[in-house]
Amino acid sequence: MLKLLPLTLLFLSQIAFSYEDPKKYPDLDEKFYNLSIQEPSQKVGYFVGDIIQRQIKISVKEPYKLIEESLPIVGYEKRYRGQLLGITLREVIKNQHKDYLELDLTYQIFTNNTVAKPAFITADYYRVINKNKPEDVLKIRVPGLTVAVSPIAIFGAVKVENDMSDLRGPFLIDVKKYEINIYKSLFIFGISLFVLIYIYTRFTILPGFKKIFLPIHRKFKKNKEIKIESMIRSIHNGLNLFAEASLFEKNLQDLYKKNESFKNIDQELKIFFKISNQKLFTKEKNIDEKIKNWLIEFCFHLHLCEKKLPIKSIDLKIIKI
Amino acid sequence: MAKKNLADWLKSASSLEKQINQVILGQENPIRLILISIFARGHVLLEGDVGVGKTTMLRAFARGIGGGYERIEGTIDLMPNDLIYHTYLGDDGKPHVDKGPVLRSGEDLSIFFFNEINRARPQVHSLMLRIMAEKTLSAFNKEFHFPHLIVFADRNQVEKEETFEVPSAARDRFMMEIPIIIPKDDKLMTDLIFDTRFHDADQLITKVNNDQLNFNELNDVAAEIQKNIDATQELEKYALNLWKATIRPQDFNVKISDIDVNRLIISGSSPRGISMMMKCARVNAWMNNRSSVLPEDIHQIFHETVAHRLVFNPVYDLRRTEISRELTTEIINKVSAH
Repeated sequence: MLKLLPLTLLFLSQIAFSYEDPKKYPDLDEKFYNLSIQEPSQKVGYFVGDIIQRQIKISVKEPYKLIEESLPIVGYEKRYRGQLLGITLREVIKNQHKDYLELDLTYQIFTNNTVAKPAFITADYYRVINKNKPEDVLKIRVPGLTVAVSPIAIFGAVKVENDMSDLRGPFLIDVKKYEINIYKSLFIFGISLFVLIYIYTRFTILPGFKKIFLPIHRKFKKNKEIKIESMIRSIHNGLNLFAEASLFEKNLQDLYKKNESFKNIDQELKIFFKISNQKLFTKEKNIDEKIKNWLIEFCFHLHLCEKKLPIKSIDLKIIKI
Repeated sequence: MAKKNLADWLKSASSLEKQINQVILGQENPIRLILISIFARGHVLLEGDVGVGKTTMLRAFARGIGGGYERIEGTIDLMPNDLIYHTYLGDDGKPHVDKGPVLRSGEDLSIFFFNEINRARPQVHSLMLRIMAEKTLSAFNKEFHFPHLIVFADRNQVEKEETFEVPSAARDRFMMEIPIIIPKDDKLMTDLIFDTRFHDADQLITKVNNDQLNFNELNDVAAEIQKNIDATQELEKYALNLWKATIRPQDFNVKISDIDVNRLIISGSSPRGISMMMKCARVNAWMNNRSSVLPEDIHQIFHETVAHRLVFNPVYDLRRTEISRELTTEIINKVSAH
């Protein structure tokens, strides 16, 4: 029996360390500290592996000072009346601000009681010491948190009706990566939608897209006084720029190799070269001002081809030169 | 000369072109180019293998133009006087002097064909070049004139042994260098083998009517064409840029595969070359029934009027035929006309 005594004492001392007597230290007067706790919005429906996060902000006024060693540490298993509660502190992030200490505590649930039963994080006691009187050690009580590890209502401590929406899906261990995937998908969807709208919008031009013919078309539309020669030169420049060669009727194939859509307006291109030859290289004056409208329309067709948009043959303006 | 006359000349030229195309198969482009040079009054260098029909083609043209047609073969022992006269002992036992091929037709000489010019010595080249440039010849204390003469010379670019390369200054006297290539179309090739009418060249050229273009009027017609066909300022600018591109192709972003363009050109086209190019472009416009020159008219004759005038760096000169074709094509592709 005597041999068992040291073992019994050892066992009792372990209990004493793991279960601190709240009555051991007197409470610090509330006027000497501020405590605010941000609790998780979810109170029920937790499963094994789920995470509970609390944020505690605490500030202690002079002459008291918080004892760092009394703060929660990672791996500490909460017990209640000597029994493991099945909730473990997994991560502690300390942020010392100018006026207060911020603690981000992450707990993880390791209990799966199937009966309607609460699980809770017991109250913590952070100790403070009087700087002027070191033997004066006091405590600040951080209230516990009760949650449910079953979807069934329990004990009235949790307002289930606030948190049992049908729309809430199954609780997952960590939803962050799924959330990121959703945001990524939304982003890609947005871009795709944008591109699709851009492609199928005939009049769209975006800065930096380096399209050639729409700016020329806009220039023609804005400047009604522009000369026909100038219009022809602008279109030629655009065609040369697009084909990366000096384009003539006989090497239109170079243009078609770059973009087959231009084949759709082959007839108009040939008419354009006839107009260009007459206006720039002959002294005959058969081209009148009316041709401006045709050139504007033609330039717009070039733009559609550049964007690989379909052009109906009925839309082509075939004129005789 | 009224424009109506030019229109009639155009009809005659087209008719001759059509007839020669029936006699010489698969050479539409060279035939068109020779016709252009005839109306632009310029000499022509023909480049091509043996037996592709160069002589037959020229004989056909000579028949269609009328006037005298003479021919001489370039050989290493050919001397300048061989072109002017030859001596022999006559039946009477006395020495006789007869006129050589250049003098034989007198002023009526319209086509002189110098076959394999690069086999003849430089002395012969120099005589020939004088005749080409001045269309005169001093012999027997007399000045001979050849106002209607066009010289066609042929050189074989493949064989180099026992040849004297025609120097660049001499090449520049030729208005065009026209490549004559064996037709690639199977049907045409089969016809050339099996169609017996192509076996007898003498008989073949009789299909071309005699004297369709009066050789002694061609100089006037040529001048009239040059006078009547316009070139706008825009085209002048384009021709000027093309010329500049033959001198400094790198300024026009001309690129040729495996060639350092900065080192390629030693000398670009001469002013004479570019003026000949424009002459030919005017004739081409006329032959296409237009009154103004278009960039396409220049394109049609650009390679043939310019390529042989370019002086390449000796490193690249052995690949001259291939590089010059790429260069002229690239110049046309890069120099904007508008």
